[in-house]
Amino acid sequence: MTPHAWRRLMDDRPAVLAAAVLTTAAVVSLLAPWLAPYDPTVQPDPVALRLIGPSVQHPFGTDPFSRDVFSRVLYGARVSLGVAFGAMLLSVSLGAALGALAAVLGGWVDLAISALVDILIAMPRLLVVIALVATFGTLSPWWLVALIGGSGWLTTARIVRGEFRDHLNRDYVLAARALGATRWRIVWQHLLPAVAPQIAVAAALALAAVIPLEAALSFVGLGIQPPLPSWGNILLDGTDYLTSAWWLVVFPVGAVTMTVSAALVLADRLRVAIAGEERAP
Amino acid sequence: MTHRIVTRLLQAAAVCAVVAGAVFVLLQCAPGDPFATALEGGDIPATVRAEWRARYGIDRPPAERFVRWAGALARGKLGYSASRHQTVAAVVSDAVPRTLLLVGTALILGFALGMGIALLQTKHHRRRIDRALGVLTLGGVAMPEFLLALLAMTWLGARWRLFPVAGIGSLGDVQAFPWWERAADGLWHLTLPASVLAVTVAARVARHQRAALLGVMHEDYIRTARAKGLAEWAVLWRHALPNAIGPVIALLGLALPSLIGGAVLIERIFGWPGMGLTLFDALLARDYPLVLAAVLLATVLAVVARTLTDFIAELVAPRRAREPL
Repeated sequence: MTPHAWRRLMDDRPAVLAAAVLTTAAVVSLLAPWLAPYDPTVQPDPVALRLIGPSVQHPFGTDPFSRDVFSRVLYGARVSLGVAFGAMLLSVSLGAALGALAAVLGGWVDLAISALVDILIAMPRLLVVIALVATFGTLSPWWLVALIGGSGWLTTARIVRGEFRDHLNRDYVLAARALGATRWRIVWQHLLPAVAPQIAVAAALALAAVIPLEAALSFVGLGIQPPLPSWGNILLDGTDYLTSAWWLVVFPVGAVTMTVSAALVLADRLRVAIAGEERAP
Repeated sequence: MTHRIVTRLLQAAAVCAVVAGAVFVLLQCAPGDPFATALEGGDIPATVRAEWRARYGIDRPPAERFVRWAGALARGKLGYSASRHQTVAAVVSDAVPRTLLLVGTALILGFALGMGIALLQTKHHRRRIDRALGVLTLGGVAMPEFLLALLAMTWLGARWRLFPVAGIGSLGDVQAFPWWERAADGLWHLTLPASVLAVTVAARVARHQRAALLGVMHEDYIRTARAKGLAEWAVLWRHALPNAIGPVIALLGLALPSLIGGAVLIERIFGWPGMGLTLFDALLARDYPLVLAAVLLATVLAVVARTLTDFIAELVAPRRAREPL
């Protein structure tokens, strides 16, 4: 990313705000053990302390098992965002690698990868992941990362392939080739840095897609298993108490929506910042 | 055009074939079969279990079962659902129209709403209403359907009791009521799930349509239209929209798989007995023929809808549809 695009991004209030939200979420999930007032899994008094509304002692109330929802949301950030971040990293690196391979090697490799993308992109991702998890039984968080990440590389692969093909015809690549640079040196030294901003956009979009996916899986009971808290399974605990305990729904919903919109805004503003670059002479 | 149509149709067929194979292979790796829970653990002798497995062909090697299943599929037979005690075709023919009704209503409502929002935003570009609607549509895109469904269910359904929270009808013996009461009852039950899906569709459509509209607003023909004294609404409706709608329709096609995925969750939350709920039940019961049929049908639905939207986009705006977004 050029200094100009970077400058534009830093001057862009929505972009900075979105980045701040994501950073806060990351910090909160890292510091959860120190920030959370209670142990997220301990059930102090399932009779007297169950389903208490938000108060000073319990800012987000308590759940049906008398656990502190605020602590659960903080620890849930750790699990939900951890899984999301891991899955995003996996899907973006997989997508970038396959997209780059398709563009650079061309020929039948390109055909095969593009055909695979065309086929897989038609499948409803959530449905596929649900079917996979349901057939293999419940999974550990690591397997969730693998599964969610492994099913999300298509968009990145498309973007990276397109960008690489565009850059392959530019003069600087020709110049590097004329100087005797090998194909992989050109990819590593020239193309990847040039396409990095677009990969960053893809990464932000992937993050925005992956957070709800984990929440959905945990919500239907196929993702993170209790007692480990995640934003999805806090919601699951709340579904039986919709009329009486709104705090079980509102706070995790808010957490998911806030992080996802921050990721979306960041992707959008990043794209604008880069596009300004392209338009400039 | 013909070339494109043929390519797309072939592509669609290939997708369905690959998905069918993949789902079948996947289910082979899964533990258990429909008779694991029904017959094991009790005092049923192993010979009886073996006989039932033999009767349903579950004891055959996977390759043979795939060939049999694919062959039957080609003849339009989807198999027998052990958990529902019905043929898969019967289960599916009940469920698919309900899903189509839900997704179709959501698409139409959402598309109309999204277009309206985008037109309003473009007319008042950079003013307060544009910003406010921008925040709203961002929220709509960022909030997953099932979360919105839970919120709607909590307040509109459970607390204020405006709408039913589950099912497709509350009239017991359906035939005893006149058709208009049945229709009204059905609509009343459809409102919440369809609106929730429509909101997410509308948010997506609005964001892309706004961007596409703003993209054409500085074109010469817009200046010409304004110069000849057309009202701003007429400029937007007659000159900007037709040139900006193609990519949005194409994009909607790309978003359809995720819409169908979202519908699966919505059906589960609202107890809407369409393909999504059927799939969940079938997975829990390890009813493989039904799972296969459900996943396959969802994919076919997504592929058909995507192919259709591609053609519509091409018809509406032949030049624009081909340009990448």
